[in-house]
Amino acid sequence: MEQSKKGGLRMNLRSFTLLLMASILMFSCKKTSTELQAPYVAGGTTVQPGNISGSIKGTMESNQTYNVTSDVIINAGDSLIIQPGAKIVFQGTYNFFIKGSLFSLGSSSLPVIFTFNNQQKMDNPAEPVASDPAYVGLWGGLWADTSCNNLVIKWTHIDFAGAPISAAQPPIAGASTGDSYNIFFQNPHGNFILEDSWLYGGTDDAIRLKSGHFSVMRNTFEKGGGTGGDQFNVKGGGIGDCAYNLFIGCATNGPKASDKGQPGSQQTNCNFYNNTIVNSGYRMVELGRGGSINYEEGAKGMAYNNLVVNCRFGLRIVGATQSYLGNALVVADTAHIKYGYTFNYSDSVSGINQFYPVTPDTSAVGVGGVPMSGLWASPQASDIPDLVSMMPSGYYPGAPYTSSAINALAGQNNPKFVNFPLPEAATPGSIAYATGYDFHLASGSPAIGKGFTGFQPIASVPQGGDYGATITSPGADIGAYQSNGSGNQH
Amino acid sequence: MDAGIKHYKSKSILYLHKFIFYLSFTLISLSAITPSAFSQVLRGKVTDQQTGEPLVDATIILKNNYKKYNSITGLDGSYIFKNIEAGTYSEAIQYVGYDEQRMTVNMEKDRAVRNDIRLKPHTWQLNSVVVTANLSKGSDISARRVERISSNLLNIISARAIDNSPDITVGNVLQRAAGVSLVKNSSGDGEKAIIRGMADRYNYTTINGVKIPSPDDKTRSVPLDIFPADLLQRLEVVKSLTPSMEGDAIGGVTNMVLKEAPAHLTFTLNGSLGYSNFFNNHTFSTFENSGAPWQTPYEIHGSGYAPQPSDFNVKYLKYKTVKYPVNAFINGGIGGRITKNFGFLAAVSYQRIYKGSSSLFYPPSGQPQPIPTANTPVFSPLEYRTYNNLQSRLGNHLVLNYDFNEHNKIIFYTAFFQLDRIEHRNLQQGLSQYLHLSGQDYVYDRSLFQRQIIWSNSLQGKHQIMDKLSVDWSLVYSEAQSKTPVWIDQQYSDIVTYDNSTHNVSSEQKNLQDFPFIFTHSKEIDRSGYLNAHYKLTDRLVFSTGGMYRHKTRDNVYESYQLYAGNQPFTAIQDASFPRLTRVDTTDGLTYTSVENILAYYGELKWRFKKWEVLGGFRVENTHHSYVSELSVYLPGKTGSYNYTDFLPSINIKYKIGDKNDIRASYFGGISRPNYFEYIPVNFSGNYFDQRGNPSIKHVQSANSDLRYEHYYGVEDYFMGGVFYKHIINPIEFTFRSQTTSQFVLEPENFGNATNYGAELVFTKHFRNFGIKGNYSYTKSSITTSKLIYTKDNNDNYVILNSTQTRPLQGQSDHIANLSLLYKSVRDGIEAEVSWVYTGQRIEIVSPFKDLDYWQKPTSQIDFSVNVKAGERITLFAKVTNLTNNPLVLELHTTANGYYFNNINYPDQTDKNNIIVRHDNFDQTFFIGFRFK
Repeated sequence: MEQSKKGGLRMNLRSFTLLLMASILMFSCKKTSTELQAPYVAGGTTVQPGNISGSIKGTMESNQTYNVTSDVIINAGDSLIIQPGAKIVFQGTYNFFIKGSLFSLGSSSLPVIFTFNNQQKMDNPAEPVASDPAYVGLWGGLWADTSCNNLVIKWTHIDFAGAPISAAQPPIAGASTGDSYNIFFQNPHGNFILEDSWLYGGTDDAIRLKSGHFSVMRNTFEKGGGTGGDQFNVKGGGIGDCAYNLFIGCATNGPKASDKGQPGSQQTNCNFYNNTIVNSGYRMVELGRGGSINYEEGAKGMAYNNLVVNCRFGLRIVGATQSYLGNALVVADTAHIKYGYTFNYSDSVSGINQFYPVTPDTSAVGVGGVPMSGLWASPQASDIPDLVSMMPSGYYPGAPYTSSAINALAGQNNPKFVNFPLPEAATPGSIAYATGYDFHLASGSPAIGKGFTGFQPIASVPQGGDYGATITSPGADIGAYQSNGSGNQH
Repeated sequence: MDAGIKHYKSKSILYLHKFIFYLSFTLISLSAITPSAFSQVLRGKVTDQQTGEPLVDATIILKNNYKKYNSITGLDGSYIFKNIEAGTYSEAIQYVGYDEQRMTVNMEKDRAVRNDIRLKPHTWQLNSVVVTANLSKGSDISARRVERISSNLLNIISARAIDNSPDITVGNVLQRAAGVSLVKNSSGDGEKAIIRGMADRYNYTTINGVKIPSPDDKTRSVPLDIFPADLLQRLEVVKSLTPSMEGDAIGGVTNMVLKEAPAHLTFTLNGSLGYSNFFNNHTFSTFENSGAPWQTPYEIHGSGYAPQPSDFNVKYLKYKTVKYPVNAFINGGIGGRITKNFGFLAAVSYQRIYKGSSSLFYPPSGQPQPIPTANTPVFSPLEYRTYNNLQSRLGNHLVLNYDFNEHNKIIFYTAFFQLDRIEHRNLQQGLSQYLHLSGQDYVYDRSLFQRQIIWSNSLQGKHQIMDKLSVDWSLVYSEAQSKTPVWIDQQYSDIVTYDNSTHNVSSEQKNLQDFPFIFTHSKEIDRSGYLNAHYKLTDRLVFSTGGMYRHKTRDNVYESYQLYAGNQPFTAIQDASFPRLTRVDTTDGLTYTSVENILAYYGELKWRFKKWEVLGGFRVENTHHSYVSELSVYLPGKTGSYNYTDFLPSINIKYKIGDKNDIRASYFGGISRPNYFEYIPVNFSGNYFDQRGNPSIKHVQSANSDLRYEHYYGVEDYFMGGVFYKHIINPIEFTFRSQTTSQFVLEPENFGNATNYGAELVFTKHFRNFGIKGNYSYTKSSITTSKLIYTKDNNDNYVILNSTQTRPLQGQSDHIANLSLLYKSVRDGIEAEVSWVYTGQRIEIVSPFKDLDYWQKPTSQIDFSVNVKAGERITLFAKVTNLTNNPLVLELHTTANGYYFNNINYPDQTDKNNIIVRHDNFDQTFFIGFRFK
């Protein structure tokens, strides 16, 4: 014993430990077992008209009504096809969880309708936000899992969605209790196609695309977001085109692009062109945020031919990471953003002074004494009106540019919608819906023929046929409605 | 009332001025030397005739017909009479339990005389065990004795040391032990212990050796700030396990030994009033918590109920100020023997403490930016937090012992601890509060009322069945609970204008945002039984075997109800209207039930041979853990069960070199079980990031070796130096997983192998009236985990690359040091202590991105306490903590400029190599009080 003790002391403590460790490993974990409850998979039942819930697949037939009485799941590998004129009526705050594919294929004469039981729209300028059913979230939304390869929605009404997920963890990855989106897509290799459809109402982002290829064209978005939220919010890894949409009454922005939260895959790259954006950004209280189109946090892309009417801010591109009156700005990939041919209109001087959003804090000075600015979009000669020559001397992107000549543009350059009186009678933002108005360009509109057609859509999704996208190339007229009849068909 | 042992007479008159004087006394005055009139000096040392150990507080009386002098021996047993007149004296030495000795001393003029005395114990107390009994069990001497006798590695802090220390909760006491650092809560109190660089998951806490359940909704760890320090007889930090101990400690075990039934009727009382300096420049803001609901709406109405806004009372958001936030605590105890066989001790402790702190925080943005360089940090707006914490801490403890006879004894312990925390946290996010700029602020007011309870009951028996066979057993029932009847996070945005000339901040527009009412319940119940048998094979060899079984259940509830406020203009909460609820979340990752059954058994041999003592053997622990979560049935892992068995060898070897030196070596196998929620694959929101469990998590195994040298001299003087090495298999750390392609979730994972090694030094040295105590430990651990780099690729695209980074374990500091200077004058009845604790830098938050971990800067805190004897049984004391108002600072170790700082001149950013990201300020806390024994 004496001897072994001395030996032990001489022994390096580390090898002593490792030696004994080996003895543990020899003996330990004799009977280790783990049992985890396997996921419950019910084979999708072929959907029949009437009440639906649980796992379904197959075809929803034309002009039939389907009452959703609990959450609906489309299993991975299964597909659900919705024929024109089918009506899906939610009876409570239920959701579609899409692990397979969903094809909602309405037509111009027989659109598909997703709505809430017996709910009427309350579209009048005096309706308070707190009591407007559009902002309640009467049913959940369409939630695509990482395994959803195709979420294709054509000529479909999606009304009154946006209830937060409240029951435990939803049966898909990537979403948590409390998330509230009308449409959610997250497969980086999947395709999200939304065409000729209508999204009405919501509580947060109407569409949250966390990753994936998309084509969002010729849709009408109304009353998106309650007190915050974008109509089409692209996060890290979203690639595609968003064009010819009418966005009206968004809480924050119409389309927004950010590269936030994208480990490993592609950089967010969004082309936003030929959109008409009206009365947006007024239900967001955060200063400096919320208006029309927004690029931030590492996103890149192109923004051309957009018509921005009475929005809180014009095209907003974050050009430097800094504070905006206490709110954070995080820089977009400005080296790879191109923009121009924007038609701006505002009833008010304050709106004119934010066509090119202004950074309130101008004290920061960058390299070589050049003023730094957090906001980067500046007047382009191709814009209407062309403010380039009217900018005060020393102007730099994000600097204030007010002058009596510029202020005199309030109410000028009316884009001449067919039926949407400008200046507006009510305060901008109070008309957050399109019903009763017509945003086609009347003849003689100064937006006609001013579009830029010298660039290509990204066209990241398959095209053609019932399941592919129909991509409309950049238009000659600014805005969503083309005088040649192309563009938005609503 | 026989108050037990009285070692000395002291002044019966309270000299108030003296007390005040000593309050302000400093170290400098400690060294003052009294001028002398006579140069005759008598000095010496009083020791035990048998053991040679110095005797502290022995009374020395020196007298002749003209003069009489009294003195008392100091901490090293020495005494000194200065300035005595020349002449012949009779010297009498008295000490309880020892025969009095008398002798004649001749003091010649200008001579110094040395007279060492060896006292002989009373003959009926020859047994050394009896001598121990005569020492107060809470004394430092007894603590050292337990440390030395123990077969395994311990560090002990005695009740006496706690009394003299500035600490009033167990959490704060623990930081005085070697190799221990603390994770502090928002009010600056130590809540979790990191032992030898191993975070709380690697340690467990016991009361009298019996494990206690945790009220924490996430972890197994017991919040150490719930325990008032006054109930302790001693606090043990166990650093090497024996086969009879539960094996789930890799860092160590914190064992609270509560006070025992005394041999004689004893009554103690102490009370104190105090104040926190924080409230010199902050008003204390709180809310009325009466009527707070102990049940959630679903528990009241059933789960089919649709909650209405009227179910949620916003009155808890009405804040009031407290003009005089005076802290108070009172502790009392009574104990003794009712009959010869039946003894008891009952103790109560109540503390009501107002705590405040402020924190400046630069929250990390979800991800950095790839330009101008990869992983350039980006920050969310600055947060300025103010915490107002009212803590009511109640501790009760009852011990009943019944001795049937010499061979059969039973003890019943019950201990009840309750901590009520009423917190108003005001969080200003934005510029006005700290940077004096106009802009938009976001104001978050949190009203939180939390009650945590730990209730532990044990019945223990000891039976000497035969000469060679003894048996002991314990039956334990324990509960731990936490509830938050009030948890409301009100929030509004506020557009403010800062006036540069008047420095006034005026609010232009406030908008109330939707906000949640959150209810959490957590309840853990332990039912355990222990049985041990000891058989003396020979005089030198004892075989022990035994086992335990524990059935543990854990029920967790998390419910959140969000009121719709819809950005309505906000003036006062009572004028706000709430038309509906926007969210009802009754289930998330923190709603679950878990059951854990542990069956363990062991065999050990204890062998004494000449200078050797060896304690070794094996332990087997079988764990069966299962959970039921609220996960959707469509996802894997709604329920899970785990069964594993660990075989844990251990050996502790002690070798004596002479009387004063011991060498120890030890090895033990330890494990650490994952926390309950760590199995549950459901998201919940954490402090900074969403979190979720990982059902494939494995428990941690480790091999731990220690080598220690101990040198004892004097009564309490000793030196220990040691090294340790830990090899850890499957350590659990949190990492960021992309749950999908674009969502980070903080998840526990096993990380291959990690190592942790270090060295510890502990020493105590007394020089008559002065003492110095200290410890130092060096710890180095290393683990390699995955990290992300957000950068540009060759085609100028932004990409996120996967990488790895090697770093210390989260919470591990390289250097930890404690140093205390003690002063004790028995003649004047003064004891004083200045304590310094240093904790080296450590990782506070692990970032998913490379090089962006949040490090806590080294902290250095000085505390002070003084005790003044004011009567035979009364001591007055004062305690001051955080004398130098040491802040807690977190920083990023990166030279990259922090973005968002560019156009704002942020405070504190002076260091080019680091970015300060958090700065907490606690200020000093004062207490003055009395102790009656």
